[in-house]
Amino acid sequence: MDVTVRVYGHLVDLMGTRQLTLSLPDGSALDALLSHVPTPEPLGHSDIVALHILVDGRDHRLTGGMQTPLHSGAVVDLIPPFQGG
Amino acid sequence: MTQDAGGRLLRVNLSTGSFSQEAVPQEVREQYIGGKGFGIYYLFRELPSGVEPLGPENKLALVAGPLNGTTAQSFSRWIAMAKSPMTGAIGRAVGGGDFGAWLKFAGFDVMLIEGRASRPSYIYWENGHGEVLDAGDLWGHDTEETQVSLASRHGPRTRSACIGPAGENLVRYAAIVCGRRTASRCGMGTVMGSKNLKAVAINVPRQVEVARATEFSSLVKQQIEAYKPHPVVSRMNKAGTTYAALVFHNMGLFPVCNFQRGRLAGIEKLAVDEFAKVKVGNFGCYSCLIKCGQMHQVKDGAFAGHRSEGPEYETIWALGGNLGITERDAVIAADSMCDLLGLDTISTGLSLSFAYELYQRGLLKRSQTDGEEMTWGNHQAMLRLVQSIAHRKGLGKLLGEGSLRAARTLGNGAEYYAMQVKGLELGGYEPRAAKGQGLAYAVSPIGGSHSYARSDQEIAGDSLPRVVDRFADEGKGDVIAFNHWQRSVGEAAISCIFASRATGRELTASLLAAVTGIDRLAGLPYLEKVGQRIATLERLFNIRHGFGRNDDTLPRRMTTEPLEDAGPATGQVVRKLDTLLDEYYDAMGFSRQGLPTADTLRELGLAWTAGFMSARDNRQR
Ligand code: SF4
Repeated sequence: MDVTVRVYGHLVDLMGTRQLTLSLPDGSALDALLSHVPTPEPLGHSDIVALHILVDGRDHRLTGGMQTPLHSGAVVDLIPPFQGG
Repeated sequence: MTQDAGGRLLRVNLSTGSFSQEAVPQEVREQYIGGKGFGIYYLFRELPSGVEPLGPENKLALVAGPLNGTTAQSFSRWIAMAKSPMTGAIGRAVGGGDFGAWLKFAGFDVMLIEGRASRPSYIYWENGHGEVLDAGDLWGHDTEETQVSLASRHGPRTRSACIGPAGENLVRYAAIVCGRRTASRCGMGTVMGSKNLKAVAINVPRQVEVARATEFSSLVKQQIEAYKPHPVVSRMNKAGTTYAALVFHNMGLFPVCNFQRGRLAGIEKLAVDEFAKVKVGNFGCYSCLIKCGQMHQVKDGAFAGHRSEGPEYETIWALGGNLGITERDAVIAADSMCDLLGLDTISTGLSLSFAYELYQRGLLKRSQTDGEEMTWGNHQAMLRLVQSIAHRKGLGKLLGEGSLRAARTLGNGAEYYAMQVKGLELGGYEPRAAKGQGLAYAVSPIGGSHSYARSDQEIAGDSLPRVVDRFADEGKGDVIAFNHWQRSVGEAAISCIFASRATGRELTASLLAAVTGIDRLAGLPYLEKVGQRIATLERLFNIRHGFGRNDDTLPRRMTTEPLEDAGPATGQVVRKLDTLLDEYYDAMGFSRQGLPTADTLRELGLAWTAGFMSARDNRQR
């Protein structure tokens, strides 16, 4: 299944893009997606904890955490900490 | 050396030209800390109901926090408060630059400005002596010219806060400006204009008192160490709040075309990397390593030469996407214009988007728009109308009243399209996409403020006091009450909202205790009570001035129209505002009518306020 990943802040610099599509085995969860995000170094636990992660716009901590099930066409936002105006 | 640090008020009467000083009583320092705490304490006591916001009886408080002017990082912003000409409720605007530090160097936590000068004037303070001086030659000048003139007249050590033509012309949402930083919201610059007060200029050497100096400098070292690796610090330095536009857009939080939908074609033209292309430097407030201000200069094209310290996210939104505009350089030009003219960019943008939507719907005809084609995305019309608003010309005369008053003048159902609460326009967070934020707007004492009790749990993923589902219809009133208390403490200490995460609550508390010598301020539960006290006193101010539960509401669009084309937030609507209000009132210790209960007042040490309230308000409690 194809899942869209959108990134912001320093992750754009790391990945060289704002958005990409990852193909994952059916039934994959968020943790599998994060291990496939193509950064030069794999994202560590502390990197991931600092992120605001949305799955289809919802905070992943309310949808099953790292075990949040993904579906084909899901959109995952990886947002580093920042402040609005 | 331990010494008594801080706690002085300077009272300036513009009608008589007199100056007098008072000590802020020790118990007031302990119970309200400073900043917004001092502001609301004095204004609650000194502004009875019936005060006309633009009359001489209104009072303008310019307040510093206890850490202003010290080496502590990101604590040197300042606050302006008065009864607001936008809302008739309490008004407050937070400013940056140097002015807060200079107020403190002059020895004051509060400058309370009363009366009205008989002609254009400015307040000048130098080394323990104040004068009200003639500002006839400054009247009509923009905010940059005014500050440069004052510095060349009184010397380079002088810093000032001033108004531009918008404040002089009594545009209801005029700002006060220091450097290129604005105290924007609620028309605090309009109150200055109504007092014939062009500027407050301070010329003093840099010195502040710190009660426990050794402890304090070790805490500041700790703070600077904490800043070094913190991701928010480096990110804010690199791009300020320009990061936010794309993030919020993708979350469905970025209101488009006056909150009609959530998707903007061409949003990438307003994204962070586009602004980075024209960045020419950083700017910071006094004593702040972050220097989050992004200096942008347009290099070529129709707007070549325009230079702005910003725009911040709110301006990119209000004068950009909110008007369907994706022309980056036009937004930079508009931001620059608003700073120089002394306008609040949010209320300017939303007064314009209100008019654009009326035009879209045929409720405003070309014959009423000074010939402007007010179609979404028309940035040329926007720029011309910003000028008209500041100078109160043509359609700008009406729009300078703000969207609610303009709607009431126009009639014909126009009020539905005014995106405001209590008369103050909303910030750039779509309430249907974050319903706790909707509640925060509804209960904000100053009206549609995005920062008063901002729902960072929904917007930024904060987990204190708990994680919140932004689409949930209920179960978040206590979180917004928590945010309200926290931000009230933040605005009493005047910790910059951008830096407060990097400093942290514990270190902020320790810094407050060390600078003031008041040990109790080191305790977080004690500080939370201070926050609750300040928030409750603001509520009481508003009740005294005629506000109640019916005013805690949202534009009808938010509760009746499902949000369109907003990515994951599409279809959302605020379904249970009444339930959310009940939850919030319960958490705040208010009755279901929104009145602080007698128990709450006792617990917060606010029983004294009964003597200031009407018999009817006291009976209902
Ligand atoms: S972070 Fe920015 S707004 Fe805040 S104090 Fe520093 S320079 Fe000023």
